[in-house]
Amino acid sequence: MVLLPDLQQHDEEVAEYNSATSSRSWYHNLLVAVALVFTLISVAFVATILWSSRSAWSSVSTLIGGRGWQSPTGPFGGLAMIVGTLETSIIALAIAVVIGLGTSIAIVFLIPRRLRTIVATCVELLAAVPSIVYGIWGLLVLAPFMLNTVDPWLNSWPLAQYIFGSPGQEFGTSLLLAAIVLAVMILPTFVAISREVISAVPQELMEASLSLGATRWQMIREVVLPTARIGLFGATFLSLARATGETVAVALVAGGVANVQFHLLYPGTSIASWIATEFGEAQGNEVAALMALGILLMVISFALSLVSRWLVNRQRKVLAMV
Amino acid sequence: MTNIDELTPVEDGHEMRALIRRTSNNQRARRVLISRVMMTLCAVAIAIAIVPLALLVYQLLRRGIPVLSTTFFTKLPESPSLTAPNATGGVSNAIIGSLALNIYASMMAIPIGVLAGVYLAESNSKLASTLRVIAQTMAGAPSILMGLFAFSLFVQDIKIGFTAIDGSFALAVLMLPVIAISSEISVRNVPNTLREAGLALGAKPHKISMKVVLPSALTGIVTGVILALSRAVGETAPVLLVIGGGYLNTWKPLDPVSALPLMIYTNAKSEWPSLRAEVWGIALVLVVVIFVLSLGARLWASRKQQVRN
Amino acid sequence: MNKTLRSLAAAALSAAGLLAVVSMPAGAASKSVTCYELSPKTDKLVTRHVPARKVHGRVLAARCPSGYSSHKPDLQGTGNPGDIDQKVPGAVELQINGSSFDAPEVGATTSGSTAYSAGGDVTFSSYAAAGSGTGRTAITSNPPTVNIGFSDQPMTPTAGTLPAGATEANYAQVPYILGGAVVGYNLGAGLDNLKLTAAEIAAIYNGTITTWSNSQIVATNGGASTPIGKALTNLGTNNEPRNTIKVFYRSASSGTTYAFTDFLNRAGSSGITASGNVMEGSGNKWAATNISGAANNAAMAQGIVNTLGSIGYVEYSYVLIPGNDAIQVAQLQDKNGAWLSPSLANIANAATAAGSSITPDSFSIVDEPGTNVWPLATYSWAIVAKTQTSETTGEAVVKYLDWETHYAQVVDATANGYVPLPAAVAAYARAQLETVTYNGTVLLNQSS
Repeated sequence: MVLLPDLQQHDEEVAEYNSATSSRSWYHNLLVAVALVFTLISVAFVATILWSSRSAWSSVSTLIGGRGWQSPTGPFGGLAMIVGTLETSIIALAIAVVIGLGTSIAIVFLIPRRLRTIVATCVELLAAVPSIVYGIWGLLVLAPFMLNTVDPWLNSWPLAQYIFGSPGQEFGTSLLLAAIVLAVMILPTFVAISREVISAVPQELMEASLSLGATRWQMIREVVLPTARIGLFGATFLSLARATGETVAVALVAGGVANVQFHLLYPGTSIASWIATEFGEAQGNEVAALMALGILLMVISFALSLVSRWLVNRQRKVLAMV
Repeated sequence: MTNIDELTPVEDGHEMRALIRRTSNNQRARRVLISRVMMTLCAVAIAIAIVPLALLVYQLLRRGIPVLSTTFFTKLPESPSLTAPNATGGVSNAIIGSLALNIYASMMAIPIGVLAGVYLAESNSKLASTLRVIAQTMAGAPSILMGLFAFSLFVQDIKIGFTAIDGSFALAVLMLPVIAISSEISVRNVPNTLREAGLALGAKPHKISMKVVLPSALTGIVTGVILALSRAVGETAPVLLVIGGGYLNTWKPLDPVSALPLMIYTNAKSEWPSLRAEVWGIALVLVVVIFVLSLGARLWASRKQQVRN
Repeated sequence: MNKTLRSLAAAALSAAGLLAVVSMPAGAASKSVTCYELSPKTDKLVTRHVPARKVHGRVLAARCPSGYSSHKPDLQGTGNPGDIDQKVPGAVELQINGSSFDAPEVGATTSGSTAYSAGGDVTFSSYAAAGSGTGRTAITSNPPTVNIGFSDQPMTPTAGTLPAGATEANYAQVPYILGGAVVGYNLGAGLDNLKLTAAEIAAIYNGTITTWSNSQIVATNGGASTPIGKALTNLGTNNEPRNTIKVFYRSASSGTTYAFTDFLNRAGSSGITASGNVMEGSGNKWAATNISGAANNAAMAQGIVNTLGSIGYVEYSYVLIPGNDAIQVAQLQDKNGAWLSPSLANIANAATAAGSSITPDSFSIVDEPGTNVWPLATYSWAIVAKTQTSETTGEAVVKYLDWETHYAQVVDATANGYVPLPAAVAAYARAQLETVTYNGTVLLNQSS
């Protein structure tokens, strides 16, 4: 009883000490300076690209809604790239989430504990494989396989013409191929995060449901997934962010045609891959238009990042409450 | 269940009880069946997930290993011709270029990133919270944007041309947020007891930070740096636009250089089958380097953790 | 007395002889000659001074022994030791970019064992082969991003190939190589050597002909009763996917496209003149809807190889590359209507038919009259700045081009799938190179 006031006084002294001295130490000043430099670089990041793109914003409607990209004079229409990005990313996400969810459930609930670290490390290593490697695998291995084996099978589905397009017009590199390569690429990322989120669900909850007579699947579906739901959404958004920003893999396999394409086996493009392929010979106004596409990409990526961060924070709070 | 039996001895209670038992057994059987099916589907999912990834590793090894040779590592690239269709030379300029780019990028990114991370962990100011948001947002930004940034700044504004410095800067901007975030986490993870012990001994706060906190957090910081580096090594998009595809083995920052991912990207679309085959060797080298870095970082981190515990 | 007379006579004779010898006319001395070694074996040009000959008392001019000539040989561009093309003042790395039409030749002469190196002093950047348009814009940009820009067409305002803001007179445009483009397609076995008229190809790129089984194509190939005609018609009746023509175009400004468009216009009356744009259809867009872009010749070749039912146009040497055997080459008609498969011989005939006065204002050799003349032949050009800013770079640039147009052509061109430049065109190239100066000095003549 006698000590408490002393401790409190000590804390206050420390706080006073900190505030009195830290603002004057060269160390603190250095840290603040570095933080400012970092902030400055980030601001310059947005500002320089924005400045380079200034001449392209006079025709915003063409940039976002225009259908053709006429090099080198214009008009520069970005609709094909935006549609292509959405199509490839969403299909890739759908494939990756379905398979990825099943995979992470299998890792947490089916794989014996001893093997779990090895499997987890393998998954994380695969997430580190650079995208260019996935790109050449897609171009040199998967594309011929798709062309010879998978496409004919897909084209034999009923209603195939509306989804995939007519086989006479398929070039081999296509939006679907890009989506598949993207799915393979974002799968390890999704699995790594969702595995963590699922294993973070408290043991007691799971055991409680099992003791009430639930089957394993019921436990997963009715207890684990709802609890982890928000974190899973976060993993989804993170994977989506990676898919939308992917450049070289898509550049190699999507076909590089600036057409607004709704048939999946036709060639298309995405924002990032279009910038990469066109930038080499772009001059003047076209450079500005490509920079403007970069700004669009930045906006999409920042929005996704915001949402996923908000979701991850909510998940932490949910788990804290449980 | 047996209690209910004893409590309600009804005439046709037998039939009722049998009905209830049968229904609940059926329902249970159905639930068990569903569970088995779903768990099998999950097993199928993991099998489906493994297949393409295993295929990729297999192709890398099968097509990449035959390409590796002393010529591959030490000679400059050559252009095949009809008279010498397999004369591809080597990729020494790309190896040296990648080394140069990543070393210069690390020199720029590590000091700023680590110190920024320390700042984020030890400060509660408005600047810190803003910076944290900025770092997390930049960490997820597509890497082509870093290339556009470097182009806009160095090629358009400063007019320095296509040089190694442009590419290094782009890679540094890529590594910076990742290093900052992981450094912040490492510093935060240092137990407060250490800080309090330092205070109790009468040390000044900044001395505590430098001499007590940082060394403890070093393992985590180094791990974060290595992971950021392993990402930068494999990135194509930031360097694609700005390094100029140089031909010679050079370390000079103002020369155009090549890089391993760039060489893969250029050769993958070549008309010469020998160059397209060479691409796998380069990819294998890249993947091995990244694996060694990632695995090495993790192993080192876990051993240090064990030592500490 | 006899002894004295005899000695006097001897003395007089020898004196006379001496006098005679001494008074021999100077003309005899001038009949000696300096002889130069014709094919020097070492770095130094060996000269021999051969005195005048005396035959039957008359003095004749000296004759040089075999292997020597009284005319100092011009070793420049011969690849022999002493060739000043192999001497530059210092070490330099040249930046190059441009046409993918001549990429195989550029690649062979700038890297590897057949490369120009001036004794190790000159190296070249990797050749990105981004297309003729890039070659032109790169050499004319301010500051230029390359030392040599390669373009299949020279830059002139009339051709539409001069980038905005550039002055033609500031650049020396040098014919670099002679080659041909071919129309490639991929239909599989049994459909080799398809005959296609220029009008039909124009219709394909125009979107008017969309299937291989089209009656026009069948008729051109002999009608439905011939094996090929039957195979084509079957594609249609069996509704095979490869029956739909998939068109490849060049998605970046391309010299091969220019020559192709020129050919479609002259030989196929497409009505669209080539103007250096990316797409050369009407309204600057190919009207075909089933169409996909390739960045350069290499990508076009790969596209055709990988896509059944496709059609495109590539430079001839690309179909010779092992691994591109899936590209089937279409027969085209010469001006007399005869059907030809491309060969180095008929590409050379196109150059002969066009004559040797090739200048930036008259550079096209597409659709030349004559028999056995390949209709899609074209020269490719190298463009350099007339006023160089560095002596070493400037000398390296002109000497490489001189070496290539005189020596490497003769030795390598055929092996790489091209036709060596006619002598007159090579001479024109040298004359153009001699207009390149540094501080007023002509660089090509420097012996460094």
